[in-house]
Amino acid sequence: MKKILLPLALLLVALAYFVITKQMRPAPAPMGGMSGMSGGMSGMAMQPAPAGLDLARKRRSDAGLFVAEIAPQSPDFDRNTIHAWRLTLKDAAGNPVSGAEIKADGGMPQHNHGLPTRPEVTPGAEPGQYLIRGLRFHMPGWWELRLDVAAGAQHDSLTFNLMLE
Amino acid sequence: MTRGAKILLALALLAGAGWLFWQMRGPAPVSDSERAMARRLSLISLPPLPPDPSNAVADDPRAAALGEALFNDTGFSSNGAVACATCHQPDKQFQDGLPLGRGLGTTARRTMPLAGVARDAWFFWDGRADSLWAQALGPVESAVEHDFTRAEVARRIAAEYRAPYEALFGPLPDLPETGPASPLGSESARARWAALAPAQQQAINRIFANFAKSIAAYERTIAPQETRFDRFAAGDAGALSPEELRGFRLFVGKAHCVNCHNGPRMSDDFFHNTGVKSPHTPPTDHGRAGALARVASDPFNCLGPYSDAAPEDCAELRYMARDPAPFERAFKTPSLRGVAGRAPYMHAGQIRTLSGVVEHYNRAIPGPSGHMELSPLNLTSGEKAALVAFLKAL
Repeated sequence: MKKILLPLALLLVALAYFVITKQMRPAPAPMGGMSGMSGGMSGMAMQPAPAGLDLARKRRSDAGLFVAEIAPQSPDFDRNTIHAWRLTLKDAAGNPVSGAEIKADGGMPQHNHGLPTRPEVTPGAEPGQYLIRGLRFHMPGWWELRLDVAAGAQHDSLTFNLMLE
Repeated sequence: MTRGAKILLALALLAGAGWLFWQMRGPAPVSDSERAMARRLSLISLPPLPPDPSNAVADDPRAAALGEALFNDTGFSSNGAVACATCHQPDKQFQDGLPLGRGLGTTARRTMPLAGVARDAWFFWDGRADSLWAQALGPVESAVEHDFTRAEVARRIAAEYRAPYEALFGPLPDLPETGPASPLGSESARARWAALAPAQQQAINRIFANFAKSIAAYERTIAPQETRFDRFAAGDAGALSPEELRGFRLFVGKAHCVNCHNGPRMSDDFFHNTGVKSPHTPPTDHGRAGALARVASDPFNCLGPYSDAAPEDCAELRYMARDPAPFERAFKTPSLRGVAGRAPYMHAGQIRTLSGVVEHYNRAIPGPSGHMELSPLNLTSGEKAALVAFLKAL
């Protein structure tokens, strides 16, 4: 009877290997709930953002000198077509900051690449209003948009996190 | 039977039953979010062809008719044997099935297909042209493709296509008999070009640009065709086999294909270093990094004197990232529509089969230079086969 043990054991190992490696059916695609995004297919294919990522579109600059708020110029913008975002800049006391020199940069931290374009920030019509022109986000997922702000003698930076599908 | 043997036998039967269960289990039904993703990748989501402000005749049927004749005319080559259609063969999805294009000589890269090409933002594998018509100029003056010159193009237009040309672009100027002359050609061609007056050079450039704008008008009519995948996206769940459906789920999930192969053309119109090998050490082809300065200074770009666009229509060029370092050996994401009929693959036909391509992305080995964007996918052989099956349905 012991003769049968080895073949049986081999068969078992082979079957287990086969089941585990070859025949796994895909589970229904996980629908990771991603905050800050609309639409039902968020999560598919995208690397999830780090837990607790701050997706606020209004935030205080790193040293607290400014408060900036951004919004796409068109709410139904196509992320992969060149488009613009509006920027509202205020000082810590809530007064609009006009005439600032602002540089926009950024990228995808999880893919280790920068922005695909070289955006420009130009003054808007109202005090404290600017337009970030020339943005294009060619991949879905987590993007950083960094702003370096120089208003008179005051310099500060801030980074927005965007989750784009 | 010993007790141990009985236990083993029972376990083996259990494993066998489990295996049978996996085998007989059908794929999970298509969820709403999967259907929505499929629609985003389908021709259903393809917007109308956007206008090309840089080409005033882009949507003129007379220009398309002239362009089709020019596209197929081998007379625009130094040996009279090479046309656009020599490499962009209409019966092969407008490509040639070769690793490297062959005109008068052999090019350094794979011939690209043309279906839906008018929707691209950048042209060639490295995006060194920013419009479809600016692209059409390049091969004509390449020594290994048409090996022709712009002065000869202008003379041939005047001799063979005067009526249709003048109907579109107005009277042709008197052209000097220069022989081969171009600022880009051989030493003798460059010398003849330099001997021309600036006004003559500009007149020839203008005809050369109009020649290419007509070809672009024709190429704008080459549209992507509906495939089985589009029928699946439209709601026909049976259009994909269970294995292809599994491949679709991997495409939009674990394999991350859709990170770049996104939208109804399955391309993000951008440039990526995916670690593709080079036949040369060190690599001679720097991809997008080698094209940035060139397209920025190209007199035939969107902002140049031969473009019909207003400067504000040239957003891609105006806001183009100019630092070459991140774009070392980055090449354009090709559309995957009809991909199964277009072996070999990658920018120089380095990989012969689709399974080879899937294995390339699965392993994610860095290429000879630049920063590779891939990470290993850890796909099983069954998953790889499913992905290949799905790619064949596109």
